[in-house]
Amino acid sequence: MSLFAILKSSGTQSGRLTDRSFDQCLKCTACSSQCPVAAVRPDYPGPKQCGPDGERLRLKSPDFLDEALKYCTGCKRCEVACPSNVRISDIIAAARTTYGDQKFKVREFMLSHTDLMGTLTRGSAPLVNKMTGLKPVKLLLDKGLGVDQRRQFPPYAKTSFRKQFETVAGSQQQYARQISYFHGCSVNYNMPELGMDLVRVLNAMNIGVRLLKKEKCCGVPLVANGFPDKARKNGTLNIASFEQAMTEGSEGILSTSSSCALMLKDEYPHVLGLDNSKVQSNISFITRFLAHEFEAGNKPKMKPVNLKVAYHSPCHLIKAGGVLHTLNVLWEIPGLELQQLNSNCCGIAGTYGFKKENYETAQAIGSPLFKQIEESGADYVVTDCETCKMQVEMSTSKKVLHPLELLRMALVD
Amino acid sequence: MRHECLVIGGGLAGLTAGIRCAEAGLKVAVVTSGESGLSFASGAIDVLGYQPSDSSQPIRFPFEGISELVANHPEHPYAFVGRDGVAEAMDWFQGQLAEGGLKTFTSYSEESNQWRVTATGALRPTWLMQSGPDCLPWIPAKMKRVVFANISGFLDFMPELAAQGLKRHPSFRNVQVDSLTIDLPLVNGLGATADTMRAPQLCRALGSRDFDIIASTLIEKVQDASLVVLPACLDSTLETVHLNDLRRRTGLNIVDAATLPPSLPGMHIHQALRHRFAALGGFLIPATEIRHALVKDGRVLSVSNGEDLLSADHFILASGSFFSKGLHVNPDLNASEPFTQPLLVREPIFDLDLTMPTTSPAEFSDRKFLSRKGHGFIRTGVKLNADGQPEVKGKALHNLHVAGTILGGCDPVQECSAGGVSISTAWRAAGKVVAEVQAAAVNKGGEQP
Repeated sequence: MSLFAILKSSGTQSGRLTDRSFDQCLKCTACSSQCPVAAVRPDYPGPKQCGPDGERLRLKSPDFLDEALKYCTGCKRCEVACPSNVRISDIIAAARTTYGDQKFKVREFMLSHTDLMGTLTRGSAPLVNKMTGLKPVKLLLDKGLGVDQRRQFPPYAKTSFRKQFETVAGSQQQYARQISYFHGCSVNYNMPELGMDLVRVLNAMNIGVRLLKKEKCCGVPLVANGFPDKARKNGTLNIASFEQAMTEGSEGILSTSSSCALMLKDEYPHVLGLDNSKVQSNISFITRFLAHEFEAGNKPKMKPVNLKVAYHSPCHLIKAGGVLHTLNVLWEIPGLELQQLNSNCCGIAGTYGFKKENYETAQAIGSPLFKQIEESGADYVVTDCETCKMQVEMSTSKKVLHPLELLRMALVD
Repeated sequence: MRHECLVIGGGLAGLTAGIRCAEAGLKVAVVTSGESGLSFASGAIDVLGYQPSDSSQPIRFPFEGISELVANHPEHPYAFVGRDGVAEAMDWFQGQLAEGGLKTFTSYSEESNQWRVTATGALRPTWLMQSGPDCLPWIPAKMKRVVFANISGFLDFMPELAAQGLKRHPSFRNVQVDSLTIDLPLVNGLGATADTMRAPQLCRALGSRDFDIIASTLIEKVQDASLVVLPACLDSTLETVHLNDLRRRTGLNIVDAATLPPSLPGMHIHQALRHRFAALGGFLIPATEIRHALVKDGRVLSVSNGEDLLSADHFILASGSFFSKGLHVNPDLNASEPFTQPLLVREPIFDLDLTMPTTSPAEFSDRKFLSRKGHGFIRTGVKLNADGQPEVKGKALHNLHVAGTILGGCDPVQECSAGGVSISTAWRAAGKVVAEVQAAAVNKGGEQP
């Protein structure tokens, strides 16, 4: 797709995002009491005002758009708190794309087109990693684009996950059960080892892994940065891939990213208006699938890992109701001393914390969590989300593991 | 992992029960679907302010009041905890809050209530306060002037309304009650004004220069006040108690009154309880609504959200009242004639027996919102048998305990007993579970050679 076509498709025609659930708002303010941004930014009026209250006004006139809407991180804690099922966060996201500034922004494009950026770095990962770590480059990104220079960029891997998977693809045929893996941008370009861990763990449970014939970025960063039509396009392609995988004998579609999983399963229909009903129940975040397998008696042979870990639950996993599944999986790992951290947002919220104007907010939101992590005495922090991992590793002294990495460490070879 | 205790509900009662189990070393998880009602609460904890159906006589000594109450109302939740149980629970709870980072105060005077001022200027008898002991003691010193002071522009506290409300109280008939607003720069407000802020944001926006101005304004304008009431937007956690600082600087008796929600003192209690529960090794499972239960031979085997099974040896139900969806009312009301049919109330997970399962609309609620006799729906809830256990169609569920506002047989609004009922029934439920788990462990140990 040409840059021009992307430009043309972004933003404007977002009527589909309009949501009347604000009529259910009782004005109880449970949402505002849970908003991580309102807790640190006195100039953010909070989800009730920006969401259901503001929407009523914006329907009268777009002039009522509050500039402060841009501070919303889309963490969705307001929606978890709401006793009346108002889709507060979605209302705010839709208002931003519908009424907000439609000008094309290079930074937003760069931060949100994660798969394009990954492809561009192919073959030059060591160089790019070195570049993004250099002070003059950071300064240039900061001054020129507004990407905060204090932020560490995730390193790109030398060999993409899809490439690495080729070495094990042949051996997957031997398993009677087959499942498809939506690896997402982060595993493909930044953390291919996590994808390989998934293969090892599922193989140890006698399940073979397939890749989808085609997959595109799930769309989370695109929606957050004002490219809903591009997100819709990606979603349509992904849903077609999922449907094809299911007809070809796959048991389901797994994701190892909690935000991708929420998007693919729940937000395609209600944020992007895409019909994923044929495959919706087959899409799982990895720990949901594992928890159900363990419950049914299919557990890999495990040895004790003898580590003390502190678990941080990502906002989007909370929203999806998935903390139960991750805990169910972690509880099964022998020798693991598990402490659950207070449910606080880490602040990065995907691409949000990369932006210069949000850096301070992101770090202020995360600071109680960082403090608790430093005081925990844990060997590692465990979390399900790749950007939470970036944020915690940048802001604390601890290394962060995905639940799958712990499981792989526990496997008896 | 098999939990020894699974608590359904993460509000005041649920977290209290979770903490007591975790403190005893039990493997315990609290499952919660949304957020608790604590962000609407005043942050003071009431135990007993009035006897049921008697709003005329405030109770000075709440535990004596409980002895009288349980003698007359054996169906009241307090009857199952008993006077001494409630007293022990409250003492323990205050200690848990302190461990969680929040200091609270009872009256200086032995086992006496103190007064809290509400957002509308009413006085309510209460037991625990965050702003300090006896800011308003039971028999207050003679007052000349009371001032309700607000920060200019802040909409969630209405000093004129509160002043009028207090004036209606018989003891304040001859006291001068007025209001004051204080202009502040809000140095940490990032340029925003108070009219877009809720109490927690206003708290964050206040900096040391703002406190200087509050102090100097009070000294200059209301130095003669016997009592100053500020909105509860000052930090009162262990790290910073701004109210004490202002009292010291002005020499005035200053108390805070809960604002419209979100209420900062209520949020502090929630935060302290969650902190304490996590520190004790408890697990909190958020955004998970329990819908069904699997029951066999009078025991709950597991509960489910419709997709996952959660098994445990013991269960505590603390899912709250109607607003928290712990109770459902009339799924199929005839919309054209809504108030002619009897109302059906259900507890949705176990279908537990209730105090008023069917009732006429007239019994269920009063036309007057602030009716002195209270509303029927508030007294509706889970009915306990003589042993304090919940039942389904008259048959007890032996490993299920029920705590908090889902219990029927009391009107916490009229009685000023909401906090005490939630805390003490949760304390009792968790105590039963702990005792049973420990007894089972002893039995198991005894079998071994």
